[in-house]
Amino acid sequence: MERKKILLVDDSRTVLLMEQLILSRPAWELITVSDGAAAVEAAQAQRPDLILMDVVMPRMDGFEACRRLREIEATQAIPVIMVTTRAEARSVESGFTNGCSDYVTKPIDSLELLTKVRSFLGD
Amino acid sequence: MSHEDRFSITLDPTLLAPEEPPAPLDAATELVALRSRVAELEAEQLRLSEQLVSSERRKLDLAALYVASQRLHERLDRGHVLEVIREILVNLVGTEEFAVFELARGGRSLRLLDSMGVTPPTSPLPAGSCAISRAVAAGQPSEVASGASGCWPGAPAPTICVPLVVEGQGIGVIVVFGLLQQKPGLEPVDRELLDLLRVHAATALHVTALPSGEEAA
Repeated sequence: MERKKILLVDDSRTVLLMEQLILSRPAWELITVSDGAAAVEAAQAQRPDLILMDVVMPRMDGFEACRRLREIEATQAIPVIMVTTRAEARSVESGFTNGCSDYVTKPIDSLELLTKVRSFLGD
Repeated sequence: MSHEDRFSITLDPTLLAPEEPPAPLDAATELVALRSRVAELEAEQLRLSEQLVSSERRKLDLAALYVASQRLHERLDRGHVLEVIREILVNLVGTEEFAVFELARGGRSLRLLDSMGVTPPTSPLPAGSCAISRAVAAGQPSEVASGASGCWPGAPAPTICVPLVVEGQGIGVIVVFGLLQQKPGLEPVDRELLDLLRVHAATALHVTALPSGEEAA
């Protein structure tokens, strides 16, 4: 059975390690990058089934990366879950305006993240 | 006693008789019994599911402690260690208002190493001058009583002080001034993370301050 691909985007290696431990499953292949620009490139190259995207990152933030992904035909349908410390209503609204599919605040609730990922991947 | 008498076996004749089948239940009684059994099984399934969720959550809490520890000790570079302390506080504990202090040589003042979300002090904090500097000797993380004042001009009141301890000696302190909006308070895993920082962040910082082999020679 083909493994589902999840692209993890965060400039914090601590967060990437945590996400990898939370999402470590035989059925899922995890790809990591550390900024929004790399995320747009990786999404076009790898065609992941789901993207977990941090917001505050160097080179290109998560909102901009999400907007770019929605403009590219090959990546516009990939669901994006924003993962961020910003929980204010304005920030959440900005995420959805820029095309994200869901929102998870940090510190990450592991079980909440797992539930959302399973929901988007149909597992 | 003959050979036959010694080894003969006498069976109880009642054991050989066929068992009487149980009296058949009427349908209504059987239905009640089955429903009761189903309810028992559902309750047991719920209990096992809750136990599974609890175990899964605990496993992931332990993963956070593992990640924090691994990251703190992966490089002997002070800048890297401070960056990792920042990542742990922001992403795992849930604060963007904190400061990290180190006891200066002689132990008479606290020097700022890093801060986020607060106006930094313009000079070292004299030892014993406020809740933060007194926390260095405390040995254990502590929550500061509400109403405490800030330790320098423009500083908010500290809420949590985590002394950095190496071999029983305080070498500094991590101060948390507030948690993220979505974080109502510290959870048990947060306290475990702060306790991990108390020892492992202290060791990592202490090691990076030691002279290298070349310098020592």
